[in-house]
Amino acid sequence: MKIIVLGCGRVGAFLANSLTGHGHQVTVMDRDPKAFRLLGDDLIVEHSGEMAPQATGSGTPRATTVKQKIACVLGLGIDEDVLRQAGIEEADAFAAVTDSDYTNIMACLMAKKIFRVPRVIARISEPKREKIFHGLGLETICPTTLGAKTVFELLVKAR
Amino acid sequence: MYVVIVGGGKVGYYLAKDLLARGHEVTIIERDERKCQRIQDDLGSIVLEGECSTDLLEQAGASRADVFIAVTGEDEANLVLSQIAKRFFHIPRAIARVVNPKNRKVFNQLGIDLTVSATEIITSLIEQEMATQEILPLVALRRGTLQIVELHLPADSPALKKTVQQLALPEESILISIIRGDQIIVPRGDTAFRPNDTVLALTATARADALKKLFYP
Repeated sequence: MKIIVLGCGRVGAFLANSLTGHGHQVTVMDRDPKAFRLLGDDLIVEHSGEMAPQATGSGTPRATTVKQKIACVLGLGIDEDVLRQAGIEEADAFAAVTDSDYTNIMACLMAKKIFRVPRVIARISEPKREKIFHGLGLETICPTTLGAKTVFELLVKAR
Repeated sequence: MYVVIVGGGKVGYYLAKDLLARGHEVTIIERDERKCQRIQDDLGSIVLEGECSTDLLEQAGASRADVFIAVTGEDEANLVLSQIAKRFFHIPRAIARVVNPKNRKVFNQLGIDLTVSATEIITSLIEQEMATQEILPLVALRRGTLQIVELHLPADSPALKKTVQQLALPEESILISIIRGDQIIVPRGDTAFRPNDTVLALTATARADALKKLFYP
């Protein structure tokens, strides 16, 4: 499958590596060029062109670099052009796992409603928001509740 | 009217102040404690402190609101909150502030028709002042598929010496008026164009280029 992962933090990098390990074709997007380092030391990150501005909400797409296995696209995940550059028109799945809920939701809405990506998943950190986003027709995952649940079960079972 | 505003920064604050002065009922939702305090001190108890959520919107009585306005500094938040306002609270009008003009189209595509972009307004004001050979969109209607545009006729405009009738306007386009100095002319078939005329037209966005070609060399 062709899969786009938005956000190359710890979650995004781990996800991208796992997916690649399972033979999927992965493109990772992030607005911070340094973020791609998390993908691993053996993968060399190269960038060309100017860097994306750090200012919120603005900026246009910049560089695409194909690394050994994972393609990296630098730019904002809610920018149509950057999404296109990441190949969203041909993507089978899209996962938004940045640390901003709103960014994840907006990117997923774009992926689903504008680009018609068949499978779209958003990471949500605030559990209260999760049900809202289900209402918007999005599949979400909330590591906050998952983590709490796991710890809870371990604690209860450990007794 | 009852207006719910999300974002109590400068935009939200002055917006609320203005709306209150015009006799409307306003609630502001803001997450920053200091901003909340300032609003409360200046405008009274119209502010709810916290991250905007469905709970907080319920507390604000969003379902009886006539207008919802999202003016945080974050485009993503404004979009998502406007969607929530429309979908869950059925607020008839949801207006979102757009910082990056590029996002406007995306907002429209995702069902938020009313957007306000200061960036875009300033850019278009500058363009109007520069009087470039461009077609200037003044108002976008029907999710941007229709627009009212302004054209300034240069001395070498191909439309000169022609009448409105001879111009052969593209389909889905109509001239609204011609401004010549202080004069406002309602165009008729036999009205002729002169250099420095300003033409106002209503056109389907898809036909704007064809319209432009009639007036610019």
